[in-house]
Amino acid sequence: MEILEEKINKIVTLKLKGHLDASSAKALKEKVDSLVKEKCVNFIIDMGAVDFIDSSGLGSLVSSLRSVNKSGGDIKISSLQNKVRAIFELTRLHRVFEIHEDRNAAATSF
Amino acid sequence: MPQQRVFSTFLENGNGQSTTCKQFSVCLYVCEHRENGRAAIMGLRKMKFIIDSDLDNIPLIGISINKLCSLIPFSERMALQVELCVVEAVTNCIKHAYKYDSAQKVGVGFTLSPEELVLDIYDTGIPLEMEMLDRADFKSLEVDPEDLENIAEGGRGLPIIKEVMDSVVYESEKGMNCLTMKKKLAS
Repeated sequence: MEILEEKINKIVTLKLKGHLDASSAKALKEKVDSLVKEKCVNFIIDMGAVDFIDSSGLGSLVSSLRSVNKSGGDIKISSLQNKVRAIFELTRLHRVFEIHEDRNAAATSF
Repeated sequence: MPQQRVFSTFLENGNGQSTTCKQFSVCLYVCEHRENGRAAIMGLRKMKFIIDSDLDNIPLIGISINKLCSLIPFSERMALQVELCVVEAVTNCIKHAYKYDSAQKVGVGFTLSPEELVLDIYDTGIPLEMEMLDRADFKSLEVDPEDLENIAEGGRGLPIIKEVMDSVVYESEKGMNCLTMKKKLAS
């Protein structure tokens, strides 16, 4: 999985590409943790190019949300493909994450 | 083929034509039975994969299963959910049965009949505690969005499998473990 980072107006966008599963979940968690240490607390996770997510990937998002919340920030999810959104719904985590149609909508929600 | 024979041969080289590389092995064969000396195809289509127990192989097996699901009148969403179940089961083998030891093998059997899809996930590691499979149900997936501290980071694999599949059975015998997942095909 690729992680591209972009920072605009104190909001960090992490654009993910590929499969977010047990082979890549740790990389996402470490990326968010390192940015939190640099005092970045508001994140958009752009998942438009993620075509698969499993419970390990979802677990890394939950863990990241928890650590960001503790620092007074938030994580917004954007651009989910319908099939990936179905996995959020299967695991009920669409009720936990704020999910937006696109990055602009996510950015204006902060 | 009796279950015991499947157990004992699955992680060895298959009995059909196979291509093998270091991490990923595929074996194709058709299931036959004989009537009055003549071979008759039973309408089963089978494939098995054997991978090294390395997390980096998980996308390979997931994508392969998803593509095989194009043989079935499943929606894209259902194909993804079947892929998800296989990925969860293989991940459990690597994480829990083998404790991340990448020198082991995980087998994945794909058997398609006119009535159902059967997926068998094999390993030779530490067996799953049967109670864990019994306890895993859709209630395990419920979350309270207002209580983030108590939302689990892990433990969703088996509940997902039981939610998506029509039947889930786990067997452990003589050092071989097999999780069998079945999904009925729409008539």
